[in-house]
Amino acid sequence: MIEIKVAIFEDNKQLRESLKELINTAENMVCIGSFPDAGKLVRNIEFAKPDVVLMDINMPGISGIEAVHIIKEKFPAVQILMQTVFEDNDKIFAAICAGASGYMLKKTTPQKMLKAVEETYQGGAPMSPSVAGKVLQMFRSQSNITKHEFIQLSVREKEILSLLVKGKSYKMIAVECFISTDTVSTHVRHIYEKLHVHSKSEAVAKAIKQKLV
Amino acid sequence: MNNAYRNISLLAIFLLCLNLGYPQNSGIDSLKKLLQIQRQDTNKVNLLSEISFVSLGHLPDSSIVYAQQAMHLAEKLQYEPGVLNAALSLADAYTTTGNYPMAIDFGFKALALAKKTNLQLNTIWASARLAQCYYYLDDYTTSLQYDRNIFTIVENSFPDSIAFICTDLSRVFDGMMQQDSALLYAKKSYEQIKAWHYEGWYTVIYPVLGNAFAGKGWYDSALIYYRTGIPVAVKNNVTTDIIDSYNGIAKVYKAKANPDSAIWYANKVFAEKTAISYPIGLLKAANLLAEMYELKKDPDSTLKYLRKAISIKDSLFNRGKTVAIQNFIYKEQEKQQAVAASKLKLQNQFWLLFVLAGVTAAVAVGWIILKNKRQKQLQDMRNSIADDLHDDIGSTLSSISIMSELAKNKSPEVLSLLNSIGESALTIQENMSDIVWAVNPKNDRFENILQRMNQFALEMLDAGNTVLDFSAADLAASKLTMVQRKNLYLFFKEGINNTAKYAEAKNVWINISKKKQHIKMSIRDNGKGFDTSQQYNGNGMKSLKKRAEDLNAVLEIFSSINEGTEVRLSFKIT
Repeated sequence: MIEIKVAIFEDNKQLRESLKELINTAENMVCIGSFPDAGKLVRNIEFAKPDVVLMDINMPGISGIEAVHIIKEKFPAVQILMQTVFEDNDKIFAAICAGASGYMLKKTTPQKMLKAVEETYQGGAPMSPSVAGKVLQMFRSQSNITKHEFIQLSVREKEILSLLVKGKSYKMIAVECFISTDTVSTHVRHIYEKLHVHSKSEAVAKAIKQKLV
Repeated sequence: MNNAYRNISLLAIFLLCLNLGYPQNSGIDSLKKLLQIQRQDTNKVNLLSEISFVSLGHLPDSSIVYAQQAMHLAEKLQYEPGVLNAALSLADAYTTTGNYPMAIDFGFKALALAKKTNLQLNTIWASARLAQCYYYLDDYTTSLQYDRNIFTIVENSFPDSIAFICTDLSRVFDGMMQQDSALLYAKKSYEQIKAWHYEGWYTVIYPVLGNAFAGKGWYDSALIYYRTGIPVAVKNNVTTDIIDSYNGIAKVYKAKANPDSAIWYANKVFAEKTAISYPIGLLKAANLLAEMYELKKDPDSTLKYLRKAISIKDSLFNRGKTVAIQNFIYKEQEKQQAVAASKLKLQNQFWLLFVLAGVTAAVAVGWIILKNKRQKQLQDMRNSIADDLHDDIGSTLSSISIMSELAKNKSPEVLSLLNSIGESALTIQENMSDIVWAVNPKNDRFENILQRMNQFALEMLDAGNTVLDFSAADLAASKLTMVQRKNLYLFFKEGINNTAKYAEAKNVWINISKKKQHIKMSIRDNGKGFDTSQQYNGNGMKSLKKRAEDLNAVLEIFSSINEGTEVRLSFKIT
């Protein structure tokens, strides 16, 4: 049985403890560490070696988005699922650009939370329409920013992205494009990856920082 | 290195020496230059007097102007020594230009001031001017009186300077035809002049000597003195002495019955460029020429020079007027200068005010900017606090919902209670989330609302495997107010909630469009429907109605059993 190793970063004590318990009750997951902030982040991750990280955006000290940057630099294999009350698209987008695999609102039901962790582990996290829209915009305005690192979305990826913008679920997209939901997930993952790489390029990182952070 | 320093210091010293030289004719220019930068103080008065004195010899009219300025300024500053000096200069200058009444006027002024100062030199100078004026006015007696006064003082106090008063005495005696005394004093004067080597610049001694000798009939000696004196006078640019010399020589030749030479020398007077400033000299020459031409039986020339003599006399008379006009013009200029000065002052004040206003404006602007900055800071702080609160509440609520979920497994018998707890927590979170969303100005645009509605509908209906068809026209341009936003969204939520709860529909069609200034929304399903007449006022309907009222909207509900339901909303946006 695969046991997904989950690390939790959350400053609210109640939520942190209840999440830990929730994760531990799930059969295929285990919580290998829970931390109130991103201090000693690298050491903690080194020590815990998680597969998935639940990261709160609003934390004292190093912000959640900063933490994502750091983790992705040192531990690129770790998948990060952002947690937040805020539906602020800018923050979410910034998190994704920083390297998060997806995000989850705290108001989601516990069952959905567990599902989200699973999906993240499997590499396909859902993307809300507004975030998808922002991603498209990002790639559209590329020509203005980059010169050399010209990372383009494939035709398929663009298609899926535009469907996502319309608010279609993975299921619906799969039906419309005559592909399986897994394929959709894969495409979305690729989009994320391209976004990460894309956003890593200096000029773009700057542009993002100016607009979002 | 040392050589360079030595050379430079030598050069410096050399230049310094040049500057220390006694002001010559070019010195007037340097004095004038100095004048330009001088402030309105006693130094300026003295400077003006100096220029007046220096230009007296060849530019008597300028001399007058400067002396007048000196006087004016000195009076303004109540600087008596300056007034005295100016008076003396004016007396001098007016004497030279032939305006004796004015000269005497200033002479008396100077004398009065001189007596106040108890400085003998001042008395001497003032008296000397007066003596000269009376001499020129042919009032030799009065002139002699003053001269004698001077002689007494000088003999006692300044015996080394006896030469000057002796010259004057000689002159006046000559005028009185007392040739012996004239010669006596002339010689006495000349003795001392030579002893002190003043002959280089005390040019007046020569024509005086010449006149004295000529008076005694010793024409040759007279001519020698005249001739010696001319180059000296020329060198020193003393018009009066040059002309006096020429006149003297002409007179001698007249006496020697040599009319041509007399005429020649008399003409030289007229040839003198600066003669115009010494009308008495011109007059003498003109009279002599008239005489000579008469002797030569040349009536035209005689007439010519007689006429000249008359015109000179006239001009002498007019000169006084001209000077008076000059005086007037000068005073006018002064007035204008004062006006300009006050204008400048006003301008400066205006500029000061302007600068002050500018500074005040800058300060005000800066203050406003600072205030705005602070306000923004305050707002940011508020936002930050609100965010923290939101996060805190949201997180805790989430934990409640999680814990209630976990509790369900542990205590299945209280399932329903735990469900309630969990639902409550979720509801609060939802509502809070909605409020935060509605209040955020970033969500002003319609597309944000559509997105949110779409997402909500998806989530709601996905559970029941209902297929959603969400279509909205391009309403990007439309904007809703915060209140409208909230109400529309809540209406929508209510509608979808109802559909999800009761309709049991396979499909749901949501359509939002805009017609003229109205937004139209339609929620249609193909569920089991209900009897509109009966349940119209049920709970679900109640909240729909309320939201519609808040929007000032028209609400229509159509439903028939097993054929589905449609809810239509139409409201106006500005």
